Amino acid sequence: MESTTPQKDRDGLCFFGQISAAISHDLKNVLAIINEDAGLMQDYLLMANQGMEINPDKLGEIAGKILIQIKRGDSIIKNMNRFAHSVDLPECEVDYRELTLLVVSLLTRIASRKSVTISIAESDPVKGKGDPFVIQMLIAKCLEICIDSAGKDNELNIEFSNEAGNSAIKIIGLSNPVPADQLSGLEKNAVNVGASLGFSPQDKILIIKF
Amino acid sequence: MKILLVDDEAELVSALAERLSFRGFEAQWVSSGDEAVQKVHENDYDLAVLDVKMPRMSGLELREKLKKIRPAMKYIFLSGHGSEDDYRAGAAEAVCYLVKPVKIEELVEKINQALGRE
Repeated sequence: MESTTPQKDRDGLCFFGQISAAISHDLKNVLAIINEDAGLMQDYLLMANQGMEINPDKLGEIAGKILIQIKRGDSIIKNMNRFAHSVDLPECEVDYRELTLLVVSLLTRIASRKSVTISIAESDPVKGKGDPFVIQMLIAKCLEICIDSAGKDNELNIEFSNEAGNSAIKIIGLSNPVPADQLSGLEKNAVNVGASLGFSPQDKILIIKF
Repeated sequence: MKILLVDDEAELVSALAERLSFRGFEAQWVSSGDEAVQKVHENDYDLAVLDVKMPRMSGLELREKLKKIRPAMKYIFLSGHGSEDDYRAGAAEAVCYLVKPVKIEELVEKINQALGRE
């Protein structure tokens, strides 16, 4: 039987590429805004040099906008760094809620392009053992399929539970049926991570159990 | 010369509109494809600068809608990605395709070229 390892490696690489592309897009936007705000400030200073009176409040307002973008860029880079370091250890203690929060923040642009909002319920840490990178990949793949199923202008809610050593991530708000081939693909991914999936079309819920 | 700027990053297009106004263009901005369609129904723009990747409606989809309303309007695309597919789709009919962040001088030059003001 042919080994599936190269395919698994390629899946991981594709996921890494997809997330990196989304991050680079967000950072490009941050830089573009800083570029325009800095340029606008330069325009005002040029006009001031030509004798036009400039309201200092206007310059303060532009500087404030630049600072907001720097903060936004910093938070994107922090997430990128956490994501990049998730390949450091093949197994360690993980917090499924924390990993989900990171994946959701990395997928925000993809969700927003499809006009779907994602909310995450408050909960205590939901801990277990596993490979952080492949767990993130599974959560991301499940979320992407759920985003498509939710459809435009809808919302997905994510809840967590941790009972008797079993951890679960519950994605609620699916609208359309998940195609069978996508579901079986997800199930294969779940098995690779040591997880299992529960899908309830009538309740519009997908559960990832660890 | 009336220009419409469309990008879901409102901060970006608001600053860009102000900078273009200092350079003699009447620039207005919106942050979604739906708002752009409405604006183009109400105003006769010479050119639109469109972000390629936007929620709900991409820049390329938006151009198709706007072409039906104002067939003579010209287009410049802005993108953060600069992917090859976007480039091919954008460059096929657009006057040009610029990757963010853009130099204002380059954008002004491209606008002038598109409007035959070289």
